[in-house]
Amino acid sequence: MSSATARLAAVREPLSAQTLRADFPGLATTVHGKPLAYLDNAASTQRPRAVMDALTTYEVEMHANVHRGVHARSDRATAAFEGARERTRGWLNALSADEIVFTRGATESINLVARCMDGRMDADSEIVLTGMEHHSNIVPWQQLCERTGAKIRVAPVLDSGALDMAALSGLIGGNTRLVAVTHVSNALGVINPVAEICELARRAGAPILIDGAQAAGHIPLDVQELGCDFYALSGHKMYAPTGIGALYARKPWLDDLPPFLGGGEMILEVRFDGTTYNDPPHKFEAGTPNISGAVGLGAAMDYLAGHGLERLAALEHGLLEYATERLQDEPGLKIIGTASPKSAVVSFVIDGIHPHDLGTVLDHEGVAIRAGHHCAMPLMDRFGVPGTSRASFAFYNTHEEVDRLVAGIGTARKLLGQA
Amino acid sequence: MSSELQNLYQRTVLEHCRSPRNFHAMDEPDRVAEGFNPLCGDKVTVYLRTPGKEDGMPSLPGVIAEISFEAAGCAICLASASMMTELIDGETADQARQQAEQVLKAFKPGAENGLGDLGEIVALGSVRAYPSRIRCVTLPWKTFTAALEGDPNTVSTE
Ligand SMILES: Cc1ncc(COP(=O)(O)O)c(C=O)c1O
Repeated sequence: MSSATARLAAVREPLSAQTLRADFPGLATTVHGKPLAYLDNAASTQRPRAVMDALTTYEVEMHANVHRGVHARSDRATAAFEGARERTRGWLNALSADEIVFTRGATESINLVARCMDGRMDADSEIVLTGMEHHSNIVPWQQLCERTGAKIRVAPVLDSGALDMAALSGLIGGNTRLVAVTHVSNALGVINPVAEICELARRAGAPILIDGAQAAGHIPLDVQELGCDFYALSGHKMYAPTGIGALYARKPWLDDLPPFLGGGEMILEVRFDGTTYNDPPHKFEAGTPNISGAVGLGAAMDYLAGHGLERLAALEHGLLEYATERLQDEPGLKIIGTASPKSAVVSFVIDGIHPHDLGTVLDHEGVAIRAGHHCAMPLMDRFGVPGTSRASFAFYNTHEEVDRLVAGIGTARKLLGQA
Repeated sequence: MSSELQNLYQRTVLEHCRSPRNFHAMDEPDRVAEGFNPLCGDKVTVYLRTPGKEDGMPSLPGVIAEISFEAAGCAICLASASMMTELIDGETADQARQQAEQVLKAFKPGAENGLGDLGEIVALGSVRAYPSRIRCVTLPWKTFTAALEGDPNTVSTE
């Protein structure tokens, strides 16, 4: 079946979590003797067999170093690697594949930009962030400020978990040298109006980076339409392996910015009296890259596109609605992050039950959630909690798994003596 | 409900968690230390009254005349801290230090369960099977040790 026919077939058959689950061998396992209900997808997603198969094929038939060999395997590896770059370009609808730099993940993508911005910052410069950023979209900017004297300005978060857009718009001004905002909050699931924020940045003449770690596997993307300068993503949060991610950067930026790491691959010519750098994106990819990771990322994108990201997102939205409905009926349970739109993440606290204890009890019921501060300590402070319990869904989760989450909360109440 | 879970959250543990002993700040403590678990955001403060201390820090106290704590943490962490204060209250500093060492050693990966004679703390022994929860037990003890040694830095479980 050609991929076009496959897609048509997929459109005709209604999608269901039950059939999709069959593609994910990791889901058909048990924990403490119970079937796994994996509700920690915002931390990392499971991988479909299509990705595992692509990795095996790569290992068996292609692996060699890229851009270096004169032999057939190296040519194949290079074609697979550059094919994944083109796939990623398509995923983001970037203008050119040269605008895609492969990295280890969203963290490295953000650090790459922050490390290359020293020359554009001085003591009058301001970097505008929001109160809901992941630590990886805070610390690299703090380090940049330490090196250059620039200052961080933080747009506050409203009680609903939504970004205070009026405050943000007041913060972005003549001194703003960079805006860095998450597309989707990993801790609360709230989706930010990134197109509007890009417009604010554009009007102020400031570049904008969007941390898309939580968005890229769930929301159809078009960086040209968004109008962002940089977009960061992580493979392992979109059904691809760990250790691979990407940075989209508009071409003029990649031409302008100094290289990130130095080494092989990023150079054209090295002499002891001076080195000339390779063209972007290679200028930013020193050393042998994560070739198999990139292949896996491309395969994950193919898998998602094959089913249609919108249709998968609709399944996730159904889970969000059902989980919200079930959880908000629980006595003493408070959902943090009630704004809309939201991705399929429900973060909550329960009177008298610490998230860690709940996490352990749920684990014994086979239900995996995340408990803690979700690498967003400033946001936890904002809501006056040390941490929350977070259930985060993917299209392969079922309503029955939501029921098991709710039942597990009941077990925890009984055990910990709150019922 | 699984028996492992019931073993983890034993009656003694839950009882300490619900009404923690010596759970308050101390006015003018002789020594105080803060501990933090960056993985979950739990915080513990341990206060010590150690009469007969000499002026100036590293001179070591002789007796733990009073110990109290404050914490924002899970049941395991609260129980561990509460049990710790009961065990250590009134001990000589040397004994208390040894007990802390014994607990911290018993919760090292792969260690024997050497909690033998440590009173109620034994009820936390089953946490050893939960690598992600061991820090919940050890945080109060590490914080106590820091208070005793006069370590001015916030203690971290990492
Ligand atoms: C919003 C957000 N940004 C950045 C990251 C960092 O991603 P990674 O750890 O894959 O580099 C994460 C992952 O937890 C995230 O949720």
